[in-house]
Amino acid sequence: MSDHWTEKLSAYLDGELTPADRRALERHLEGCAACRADTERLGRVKEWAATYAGTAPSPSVWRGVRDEIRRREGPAALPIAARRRFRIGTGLPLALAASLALVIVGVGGWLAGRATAPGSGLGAEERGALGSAGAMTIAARQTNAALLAAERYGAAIAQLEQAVLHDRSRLDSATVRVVVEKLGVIDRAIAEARAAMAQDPESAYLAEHFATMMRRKLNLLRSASAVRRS
Amino acid sequence: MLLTIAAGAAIALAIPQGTDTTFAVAANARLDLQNYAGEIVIETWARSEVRIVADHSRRESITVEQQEGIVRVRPASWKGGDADFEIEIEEGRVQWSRSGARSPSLVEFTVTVPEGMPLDVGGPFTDVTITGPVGETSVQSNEGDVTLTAVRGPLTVRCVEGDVTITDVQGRMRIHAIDGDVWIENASGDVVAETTDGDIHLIGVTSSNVEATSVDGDLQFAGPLAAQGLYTFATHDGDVTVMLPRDAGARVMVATYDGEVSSDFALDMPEDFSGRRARFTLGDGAAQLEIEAFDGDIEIRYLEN
Amino acid sequence: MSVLRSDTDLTAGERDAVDVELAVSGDGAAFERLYYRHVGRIHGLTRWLMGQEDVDDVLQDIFVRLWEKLHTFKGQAAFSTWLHRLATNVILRRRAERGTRSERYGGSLVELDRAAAERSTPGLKVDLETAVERLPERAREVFVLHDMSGYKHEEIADFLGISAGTSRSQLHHARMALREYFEG
Repeated sequence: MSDHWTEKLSAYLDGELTPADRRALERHLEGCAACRADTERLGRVKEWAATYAGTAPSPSVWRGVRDEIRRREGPAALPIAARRRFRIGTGLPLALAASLALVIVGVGGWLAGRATAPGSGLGAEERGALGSAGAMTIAARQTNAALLAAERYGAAIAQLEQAVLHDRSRLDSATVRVVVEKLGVIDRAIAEARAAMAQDPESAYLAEHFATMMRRKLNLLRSASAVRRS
Repeated sequence: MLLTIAAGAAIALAIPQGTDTTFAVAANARLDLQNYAGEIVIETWARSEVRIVADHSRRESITVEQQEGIVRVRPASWKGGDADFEIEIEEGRVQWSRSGARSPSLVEFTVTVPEGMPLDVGGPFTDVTITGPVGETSVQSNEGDVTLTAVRGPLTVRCVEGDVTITDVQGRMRIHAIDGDVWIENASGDVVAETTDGDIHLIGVTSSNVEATSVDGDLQFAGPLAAQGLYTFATHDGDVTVMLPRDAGARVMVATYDGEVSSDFALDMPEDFSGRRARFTLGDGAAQLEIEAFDGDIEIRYLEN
Repeated sequence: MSVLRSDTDLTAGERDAVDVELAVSGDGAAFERLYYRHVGRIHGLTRWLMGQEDVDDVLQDIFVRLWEKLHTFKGQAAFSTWLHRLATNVILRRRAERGTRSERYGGSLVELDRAAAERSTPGLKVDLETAVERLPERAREVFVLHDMSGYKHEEIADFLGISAGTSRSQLHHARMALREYFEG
């Protein structure tokens, strides 16, 4: 049964009433149990829709997604197995894995022969910039997510640099030459992004840009190291 | 010397100093042509035939196979099968291998294909030039320039070292370069263009989805913005120039760490936003435009025809 | 010095943001995690907007498109909201191609009220998901687009070719029909 007040309940829940109408409705609710009950139930409907988790479809859907992506981008797309190949170990906490990566690169040297590897992992200042749990602004969350992602890239980058070093003799010299040169371009970008972040640690743009540059380095290294026997 | 070869046959032509062969192909056949070093030029005609003209030395010959709708063309000296190793590169997608005994020779292909034929062509040290309304096309080159004209998409180009030039094209385009410039002129369709060391020029591009990114290079775009369209331009070290019609409408986000933002359009921008993003609206704000230049200037200009 | 937080400390939104970054770089396991984390909800959205036909097909289209467009997610909105918009775009386009845009009003209000009354009779109850399915088409569409995908009435009016006022009243009637499932 609909009446004058009931019609307004949805708009009320969505915050769409004018202040005057809202006050009038709230006064009405104080005295009308049926409308109060309806308001609460409508709110529960709304909440149910907002949090509805649903049920997964048949597994064939995921397989279809994966196959279509591989059809469009080549069989190496969605490399789930490839990623596992480059993990340092299973189940290591991220921080420990990252520090191990730094150790490996330090011992193994680096493509350009530098003693330290600027591209592979976060320094103390960046880690300090990662916020502790608690209320955070959206920008701070974005910064955090970007830094966490960059940390993971750093570990993977360290792995791949090692792989490329060892396999260098098996790669065509032209490929290696181009890749090494362009890694230099990206490393310069990473160093500049890092320096900028140090100046302005709150900036979500700078953190995301840093993560983007790390990701580009990772992609370039992957392209050099993906060697497959036919 | 002309030979006509029936579909379904596997043949090897061993003709010294050059190849010239024409054969019929099925209606939905695809071309898979990989060359180690040299050139690939592809043109179209209205016939349901493929003509392969190849310039090469006496010791070289061209292998052509037709199976299951794929026309596979290779220099015989370059074996994709028994190889020491095969390299697959993600950014510059190349499939090539060391064959062992003899190093592959230089071959220059000129191939004429039916209009609308899908193509998968390329090679490690090969320039690729395609002209005419071919079908879905994928090009890979390690070291070589890629030039596509009057092609109908979708297009995927992966190039490690070399420039990519695309003109008068309709259809989805994905260009992945590492060391080279990308030029796209007079095109329509979704565009993704990426390079690490090189400039990207998108001139006269009409699309509702454009993404251009470089690390070390300038970006340039000139074209209309579609309502609900998404346009992203990002570089680390380089300038970005976006030229838009005067009535363009977009929600704009610009970000730069060390650079200036200037505009022909009236903007309401903070004085100093170094290290941060600034947002403003052009016109009706219908499209979404994102411009990032970490170390470089951003210019938004009127597009004058 | 702050300690790097481990995965278990991340909120759902942060977990999504990290997986998006990883997936964009080609990490298939991260993309698979995103899929399984969100497919249930998108499955419901798709079923309720498409009907029973082609649901799996459209779901596949949505997640392939997600893979292609993932790098455009910038993190200003929640990933879930952004994914809903992407999914809704795919679904609406598919519907336009299928030509199921119905011009009719989508069930009279009398029908809705009767349906609600029937459901309040014990023995005739179906589960809430089926109840949504059984809503008249227009009311169901508006309810899903507004309360699940978070679109505003003006946007819904654009999509469905109705007025914003109609959208508001359809939403209200859909919610009223479904309120029977909650004890007040």
